[in-house]
Amino acid sequence: MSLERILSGMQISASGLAGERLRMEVVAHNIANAHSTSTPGGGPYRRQRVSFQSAMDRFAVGTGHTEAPELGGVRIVGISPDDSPLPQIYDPGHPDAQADGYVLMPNVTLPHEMVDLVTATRAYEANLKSMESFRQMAEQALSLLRGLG
Amino acid sequence: MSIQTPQVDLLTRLLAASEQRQQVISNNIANVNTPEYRSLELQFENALAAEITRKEKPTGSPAAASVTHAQGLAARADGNNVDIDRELGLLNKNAMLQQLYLQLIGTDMNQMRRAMEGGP
Repeated sequence: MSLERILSGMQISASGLAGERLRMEVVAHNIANAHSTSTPGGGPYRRQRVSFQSAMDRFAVGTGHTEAPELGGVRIVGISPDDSPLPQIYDPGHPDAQADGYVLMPNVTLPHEMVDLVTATRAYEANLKSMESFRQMAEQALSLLRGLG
Repeated sequence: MSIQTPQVDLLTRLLAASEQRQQVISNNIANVNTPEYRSLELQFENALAAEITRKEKPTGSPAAASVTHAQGLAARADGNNVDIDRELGLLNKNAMLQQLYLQLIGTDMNQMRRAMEGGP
């Protein structure tokens, strides 16, 4: 039993917290740009999404004896654009309208983003709960020493 | 006479296992949105029970904790099979067990201290 291990456990939760917060930020970014018809790169805004990967490459499962398993939490692979087709609306007066009068709109759908936001919030809370649990465990272990003083 | 009683030794091992289990559960929770991630769990109590029931204790190797994939969980569409409610339940259960082990160790240590002080 060592404090170091408790702290490494907190890092697992911290990686989860960071990942879910990034997801919430990306959702907020998507919602804010739900009507951005032009971007510096040209064309309308494309919905962004975060991809995760578990960080435990060096950890072999099921080998029986595991002295120090590498439980690394979650790793953010990157933010990539959603390549689904862009919806079009007819608005000839729009500054970004094409020659035929149609405007390409961002492929952001609000219900989609709200569901993402709720799942990210719930997952964030769960990670927070496990971090709180780590803190309590460390505190209780230290109170043993206090009793002996 | 040894200061560390067999009971404290046993409790320390259970405590170490519960801390390791806390990490495994936290790892599952952190990966709740990772595609293709499969839930992990720590096995220790069964190995410990087997060690205790074994009569030839000195020759047998001490029970070790092992991390395995959890069985019988339904996977979601993205291949992830972490059940967040199950993990939170296990997290709470594990934290309470850890508290129990710590209290038992604390009681044992207090007894020892009282014996050393020689009070009434």
